[in-house]
Amino acid sequence: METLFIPATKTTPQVDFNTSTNVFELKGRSIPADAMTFYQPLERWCDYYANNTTQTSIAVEVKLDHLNTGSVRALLSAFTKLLNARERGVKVQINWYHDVEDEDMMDKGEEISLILDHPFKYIAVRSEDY
Amino acid sequence: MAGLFEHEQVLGMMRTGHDEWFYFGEVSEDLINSVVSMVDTKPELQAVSRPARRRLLSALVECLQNMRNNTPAVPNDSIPNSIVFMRKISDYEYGLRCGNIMMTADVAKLEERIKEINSADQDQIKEMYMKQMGVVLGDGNRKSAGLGLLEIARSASGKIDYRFIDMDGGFTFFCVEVNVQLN
Repeated sequence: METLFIPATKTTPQVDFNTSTNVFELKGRSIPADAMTFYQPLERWCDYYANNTTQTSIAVEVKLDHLNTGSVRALLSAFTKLLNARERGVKVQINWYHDVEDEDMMDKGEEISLILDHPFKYIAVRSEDY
Repeated sequence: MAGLFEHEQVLGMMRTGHDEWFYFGEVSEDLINSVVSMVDTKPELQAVSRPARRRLLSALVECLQNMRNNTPAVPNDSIPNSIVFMRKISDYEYGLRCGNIMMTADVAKLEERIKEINSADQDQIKEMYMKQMGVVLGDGNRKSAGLGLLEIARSASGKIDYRFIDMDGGFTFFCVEVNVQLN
């Protein structure tokens, strides 16, 4: 299966879902006006991956410094698809990075984790480090 | 329907003269990009912490996107039907005011929702957000109905101030005003 790479823009994050390393990374800011359209290719990719991967574990690195409500909604849909891989025995580790001073972004991760019913690992860093 | 610039109450809002930045017109992806650039590059905002800047940007973006998603087609579409103001209240507080035209038939429901949000504390607003997100996901709804206002309330340092100004032809001008703390 091919890697999914979408470069960052001023309002959308870099998407690097790398099938060589099995590290799936979202990095930057996610505040597009039409989040569903931006995240649709990612959701489709996650759906296909979850149903076809032969890997036993994957790591998702979420390094977002800002998400609007549309992005939270779209991200939940994409991650729901990806987490279906658990039914095939795949271990899915989601690492949620947030600025050490930004409790709101950590809260956002906790909310998404709760809705997905899947534990996240929270990693506090200085913003300039990611 | 008369344009916003011809309406005395809307004009009154525009005459306050203390605004850092304002915009009249359609809310487009380009406008949102410009706002993001402004917040990213405005020298005095560089002095505040990144989380605080994110909070200001969050409130501004949600206001703009709410307006973009909820403004109906109006009879004379050459008339700008949205306005946005940003005001510096102090070094550590900004005021945002955003308004758009909406259908008068939807006013009562929206006002009830704002009153419900304004009567809640931050923990209750978080609960409402989670509940609404569950509803949106469960419905398979591709829009984020009602979540924008909750996100604005979470970024704001106080209650959501609002007003409805009756226009003719079944339209109402809806204006929402919030303050955002930067410390």
